Amino acid sequence: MTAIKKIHKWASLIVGLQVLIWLGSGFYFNLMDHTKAKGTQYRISNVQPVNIEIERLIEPEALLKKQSEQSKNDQNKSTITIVSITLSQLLSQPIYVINQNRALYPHFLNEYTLVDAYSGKEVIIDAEKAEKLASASYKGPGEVINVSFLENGNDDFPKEQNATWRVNYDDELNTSIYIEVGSGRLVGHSNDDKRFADFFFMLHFMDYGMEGNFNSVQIILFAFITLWLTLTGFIWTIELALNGQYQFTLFSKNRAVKLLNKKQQPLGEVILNAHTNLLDGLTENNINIPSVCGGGGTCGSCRILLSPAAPINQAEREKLSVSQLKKGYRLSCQQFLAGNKTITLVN
Amino acid sequence: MQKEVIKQTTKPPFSLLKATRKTHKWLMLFLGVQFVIWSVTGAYMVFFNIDYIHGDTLVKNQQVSLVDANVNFSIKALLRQYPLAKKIELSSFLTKPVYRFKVGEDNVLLDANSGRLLSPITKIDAVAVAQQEYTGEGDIVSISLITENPPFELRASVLPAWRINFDDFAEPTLYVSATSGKIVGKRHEFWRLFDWIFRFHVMDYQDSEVDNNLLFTFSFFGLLAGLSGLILLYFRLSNKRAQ
Ligand code: FES
Repeated sequence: MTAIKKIHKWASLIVGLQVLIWLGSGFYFNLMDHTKAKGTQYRISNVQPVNIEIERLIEPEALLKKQSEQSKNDQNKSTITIVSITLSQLLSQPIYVINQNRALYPHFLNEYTLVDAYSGKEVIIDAEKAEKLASASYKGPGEVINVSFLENGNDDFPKEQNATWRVNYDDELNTSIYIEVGSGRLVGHSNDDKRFADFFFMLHFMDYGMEGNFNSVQIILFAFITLWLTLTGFIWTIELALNGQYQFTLFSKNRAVKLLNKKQQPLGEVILNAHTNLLDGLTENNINIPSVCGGGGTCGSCRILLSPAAPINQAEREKLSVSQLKKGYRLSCQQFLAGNKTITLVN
Repeated sequence: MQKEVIKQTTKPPFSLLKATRKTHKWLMLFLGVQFVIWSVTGAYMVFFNIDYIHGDTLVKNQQVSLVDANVNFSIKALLRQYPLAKKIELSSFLTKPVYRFKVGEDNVLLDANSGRLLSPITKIDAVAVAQQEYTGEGDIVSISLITENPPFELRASVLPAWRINFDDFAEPTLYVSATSGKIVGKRHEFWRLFDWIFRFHVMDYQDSEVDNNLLFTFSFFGLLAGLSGLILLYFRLSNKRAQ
């Protein structure tokens, strides 16, 4: 048990504050407004589909042919692949999204080219387009303050690996809208409400580098130590229960017991509760028994003398010598009234 | 040293140490099991890389190029035949160029060369898609078509789908949409376990997500229990120094 208690102490020293942060942030996730935390207060959910004039469409096959010829002429360049061509729209303009490298998810690194679906001319998402795209998804009261280019990743959407445009608005929530540079895809809306919630997620996941995941070295280490903390605590609790330290003081009987001083001279009587440990019971009667650990069975300073027949537990075996135990010395924080008729105070 | 017992009627002075010890001891009697669950489930979630958990290593994500493919069925013809087609995409299915699109909620798969309707795909094709994409070595152990009541791990919106189980470590499964021919799900035992682990972590025992009352109660008293533990630690460390 000494080892268990030691591990519990050292583990709590290392991870204790983080455990409180985990509990606090977890409590916050339970209470938070989940709609606000999404940051989509000013987001328009449905896009107006454009009417496509079928006859004006160029064929995707023509785009493939063009690419095929380009690769043939351009010997030095490595051949470009086209994984898919999707008919889509950019604001009211029909476009083809040519995907040259299709990652498993949109937020993983993808490669796109956009072309006008009528003319076949390449479409570039520049700052101006990005601003228009962002504003088309925005229903808030703010105006655009600035548009900036973010090469890789951003703090609002740490999982996003593609380059994005960030469009900032001057509304009371400081809304930012992110547009993927390659495809014009709306990455998402963020605002101060989302950032507030994200801060707690960052704390909970110990994701100080804003990697967007919970697999960092520091959290793995802390989780490992926390396992030791909770498992030792669990064993400790079971030990306490087996030692009868969990007793309800209500409904239990009180009984008088005689107190003796060191020289076995009577000091009088006190009334003790059968379900309170002797340390607490005596303290309640204003008898000062020294205690450094507050009844944890770890300091050994709460010694008293009972009878040699009194039960002995693990804590006492560790804190008292064999001869002391034989004589009847015990730790008052580990003992109960039980059959004791007299208690000898020794300190 | 002789002790004098002075009979007093006043209450003994409040001892922060004793009160904290009691708080910690009693709260942990009720919360202890949940603390163990939190730490074990939390450790599971942080130890396994999330991309691995999501089964990213199960599929090759092959990039089949369309550049030299034969696409003789025009998108104009497609739109005339299916005026309600949405999200039209030219991509590949096995080695064939195909059009994939939606009509209402339904997926349609067309051969982009002949215009022939390919959906719903055959069992043989579904198996071929799974084999083409699967990274493991193991053989297929079972194949089944799911049209309703999907298992917990599959979204109902992707039905109907072929479920293809492989004989490999952690019992991998690939789901192939019977209408689009795409991989719509990938699972192995570690992800299946992760789903349960997460629910235990947020104490979601009845689909009520993170904002459930059980979690509220436990995390509130858990905070008190944790705080009292830290106070105890403070006492224990400061006493060590004093001795
Ligand atoms: S009070 Fe510290 S061992 Fe009893």
